[in-house]
Amino acid sequence: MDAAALTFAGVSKVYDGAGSAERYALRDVSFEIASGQTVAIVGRSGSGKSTLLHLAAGIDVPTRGSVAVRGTPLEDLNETARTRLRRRDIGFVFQLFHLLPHLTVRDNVALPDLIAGVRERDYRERVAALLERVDLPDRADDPVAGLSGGEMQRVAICRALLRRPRLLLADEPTGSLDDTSGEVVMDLMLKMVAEEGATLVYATHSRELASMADRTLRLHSGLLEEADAPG
Amino acid sequence: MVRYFYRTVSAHWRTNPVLYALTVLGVALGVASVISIRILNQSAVASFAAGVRTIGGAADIVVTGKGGTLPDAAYPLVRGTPGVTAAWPVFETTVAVEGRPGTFARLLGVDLLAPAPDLWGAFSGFAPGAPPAPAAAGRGWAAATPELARVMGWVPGDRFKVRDGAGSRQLRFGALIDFERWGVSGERQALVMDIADAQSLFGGAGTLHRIGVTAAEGADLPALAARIEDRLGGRADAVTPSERTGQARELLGAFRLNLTAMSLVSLLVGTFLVFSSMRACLVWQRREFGVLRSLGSTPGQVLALILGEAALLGVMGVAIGILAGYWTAVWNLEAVSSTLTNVYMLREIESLEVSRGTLALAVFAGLGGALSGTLLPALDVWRRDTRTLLDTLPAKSAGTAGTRVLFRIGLVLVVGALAWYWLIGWRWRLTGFVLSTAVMLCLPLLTPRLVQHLATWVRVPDFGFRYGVRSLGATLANTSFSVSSLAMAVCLLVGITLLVESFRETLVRWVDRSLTADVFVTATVGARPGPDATLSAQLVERLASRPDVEGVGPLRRLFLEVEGRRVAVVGVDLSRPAARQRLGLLSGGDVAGRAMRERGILIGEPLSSSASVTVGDTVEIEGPEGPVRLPVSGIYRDYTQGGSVTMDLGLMAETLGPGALTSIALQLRPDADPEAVAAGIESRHPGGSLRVRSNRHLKEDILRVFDQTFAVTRILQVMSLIIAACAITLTLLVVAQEKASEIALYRTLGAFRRQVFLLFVSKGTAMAFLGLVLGFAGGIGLGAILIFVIQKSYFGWSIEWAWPWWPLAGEALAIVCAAVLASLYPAFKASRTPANELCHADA
Repeated sequence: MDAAALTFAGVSKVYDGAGSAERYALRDVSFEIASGQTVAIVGRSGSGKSTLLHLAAGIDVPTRGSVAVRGTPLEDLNETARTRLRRRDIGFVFQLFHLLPHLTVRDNVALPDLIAGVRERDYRERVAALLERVDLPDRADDPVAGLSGGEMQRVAICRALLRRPRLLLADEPTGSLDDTSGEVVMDLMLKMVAEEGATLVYATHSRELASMADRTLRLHSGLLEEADAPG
Repeated sequence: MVRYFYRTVSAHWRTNPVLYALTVLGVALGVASVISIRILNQSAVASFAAGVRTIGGAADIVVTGKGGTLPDAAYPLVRGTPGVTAAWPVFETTVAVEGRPGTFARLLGVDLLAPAPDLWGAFSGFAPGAPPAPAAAGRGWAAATPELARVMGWVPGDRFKVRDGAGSRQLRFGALIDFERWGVSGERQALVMDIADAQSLFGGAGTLHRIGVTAAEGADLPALAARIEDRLGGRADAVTPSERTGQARELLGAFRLNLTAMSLVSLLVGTFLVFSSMRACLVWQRREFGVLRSLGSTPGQVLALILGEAALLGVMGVAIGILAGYWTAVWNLEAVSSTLTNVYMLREIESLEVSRGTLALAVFAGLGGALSGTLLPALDVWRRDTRTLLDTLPAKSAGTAGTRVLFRIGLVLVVGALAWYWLIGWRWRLTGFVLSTAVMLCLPLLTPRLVQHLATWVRVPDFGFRYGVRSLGATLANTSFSVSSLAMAVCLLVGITLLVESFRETLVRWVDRSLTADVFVTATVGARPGPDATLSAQLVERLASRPDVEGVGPLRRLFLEVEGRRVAVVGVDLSRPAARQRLGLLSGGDVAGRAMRERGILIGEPLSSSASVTVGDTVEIEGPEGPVRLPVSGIYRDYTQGGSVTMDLGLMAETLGPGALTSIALQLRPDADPEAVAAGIESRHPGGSLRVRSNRHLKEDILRVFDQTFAVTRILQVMSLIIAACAITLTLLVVAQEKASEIALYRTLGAFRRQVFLLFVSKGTAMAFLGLVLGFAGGIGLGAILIFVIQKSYFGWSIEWAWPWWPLAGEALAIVCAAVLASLYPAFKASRTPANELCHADA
């Protein structure tokens, strides 16, 4: 049996607050996400959604508890190994897209492979296919500054999926888009994730967007209040 | 608001100590380079003025002979000139004090029976008002300055020996003379004795060097000076001490101007650094200003906060810069001092002068640099509305249109300057500095467009060097400032290197051609050649008759006024092939032979250029016996300050009077060892009256003096480079902080820390290469201007262009290494950027 795509076991994340007070971003959170699932994490601002995604991506470490990606406990890995795992298995989509203005659309999509040291001839076709998939093949050589918000997020999704990650994390992927664009992008992301056979975990404020997921986790002040069963 | 100012300034310092430290360092280095040069320049002139004051005392007018000396008979004529209330003759020479190697003193002979007014007040060691009659004092009586007496450990009555070109003399220490008590800050090491005694002991019977004059109250000094010159038949100069100092200032003008111009470049580069750092500070504080504005602060208050902080940094930079500048001056004192004595025949610098004007300049330069560097970014914040300030600032690149406009302005500047030079500018002496300024200013104007083009042009096959180059375009403004700073520093470095190395190469060729004898013997006074230093006929005969000597080349040198300029007039035996060969004549043919036939002279290129005299013209030489007009038969390459005149010894004796030789060149037999012969001659003449050098030794000495002359410029080059390296560090620190979310993105996408580290080192290296390319292009232009325009117009020197590949390659390597080193700390900082920095940006 395949290991779960993502496992949180008793995870707490504590930040130093004012004076000696501690501030819990996450408190004793436990859940397991099976491979291929799409999971929405909902909650108000400051509820711990982003923290949860950062812990899942291994760009932050829990204060207590264990986070495992495809059965590999991240606390057992050092910084370099976590980076290597992220490079291999995890994709990330951000609310503000975070495309680099000095690169073309094509180079922005190719960035993870550039970082991984993949030769251009080995990723050229994959980049072209992804851009084709998001209806942006003609914009490949354009600077990203000329794209609309929805187009930018489509480029960001291509970038996140370039290296065929097993786990795609998306933090408010439609937060900077209008409703129509948001739905289009979300639809596209869900389809592409399904095509790639990846697991998607996304944070959102929107009930409508959350309803598109197989499962919803609700966070409130760092506590996992409700965990819907896989649907 | 004031309290807020203090709190935020200290908070900013705690938050970004490196950035603020670099800003202060930029101001400090700029200030240091400017004031160190000013201190040295002022000290050189002040030192010369001190010498003038020692000799002239409180004189209103000092009379000197055009031929170097005055006859005794001039004294009663001067004293009897209407409007003169007192006059005092001075005999002057320089002596080596035996018993302490390397100690020299200016020896002044004054009339102890009728001294200069109030001079007695300066003596101590005997009863004031009871001057020792020379007879009572006895032969060899001398007063010494307190400094000299202290150095030598003399007590009254001590006997000591001094030596000049003619030999050793015994003197007796009789009293102290403190020129400060005479109201002048004169020389520290001097001896004063009775004039008649000095004349007879030092072979100057009937000769005076100067006459000090006190004018009647309310007298018109220029008119009185003219009357004195008339009474002396126009064979003397009568000038006020300040005019004499002015002459030295003029003589040093080009030297001082060169150094000042270079120090201003350092200041300019420093201002760029301040601009860059203050811009970075303002980027970080932008939101803070937005909050302040939203809470009711006026734009003026925000502007005052920014400028106040810049002024504070400027003040700190000024304080450090003054100290650093002073120590730089101390460090370079010896080199500049040697240049003054070896190249300009002026006195050494005895002490450094830090005037109020210098301190004011430091404050002006430092605060001005800090405030002008801050003004543009501050005005940018000032004109923004509150909402824009509160926005998260996207790191916007300069627009294409903006960089294109700057680029065009840069091109117009260069082309316009060249056209102006070609049409009319070449007639103007300062034109070289205008061209140099155009070259330096065009670099920052061209840089943004070139960086932008390069960043767009480069492909990014990997996350390495080329990716670093590509990403420079994303921080165009910061990158452009950094690259510009480096390019300007490199431009200065390369330009000066081309000048120095081309000059050196030319000099080496000139020296090889001019110096063909094996051993050179020169009479010296105080260990250096001077107008009073001559070789006795017996000595010349003795040296010529040595068994290892095959031939002797005689040389007689006088310092005379030629076409109103004081230059060396050299007499050689033009019938000797070796003497003809040493002249690198600019025109071909038997010029020396023609000079002998026409009873003409040969003149050096600098004199030809400054006096606008060419072959066929005649020049007027103020000889000891009166003015002499001689035709110019040829012009030769000459790298002395102000130029020189060369003529046949026979013609010299005939027109300027007979006189002893000042040096001889010995041609040795093939089996003789020049070093051994030189050492043998010198050992027989201890005490510094002769300087004996082998061919090799003399050439080495000439090149050593040359290198010493340019030593100061090296310091300025290094300072500019340090500032430029700071600019790279600063830029990368700014980028590391401004682009924290971008770095976090790389980390999120799987970049290792070492990859981020290498990316930043790549950015630093890329900036270094860009700065190098631009700087080298500008430096070649600057070098050409320095060699073909400035040196020609200021010094009249023809320098042949040379490509000093190895020095240039070494400098390029050093710059790249400096850039890589400068990028290490920012690269380390950037590599520590956590990947979750992105969530802060999203928040």
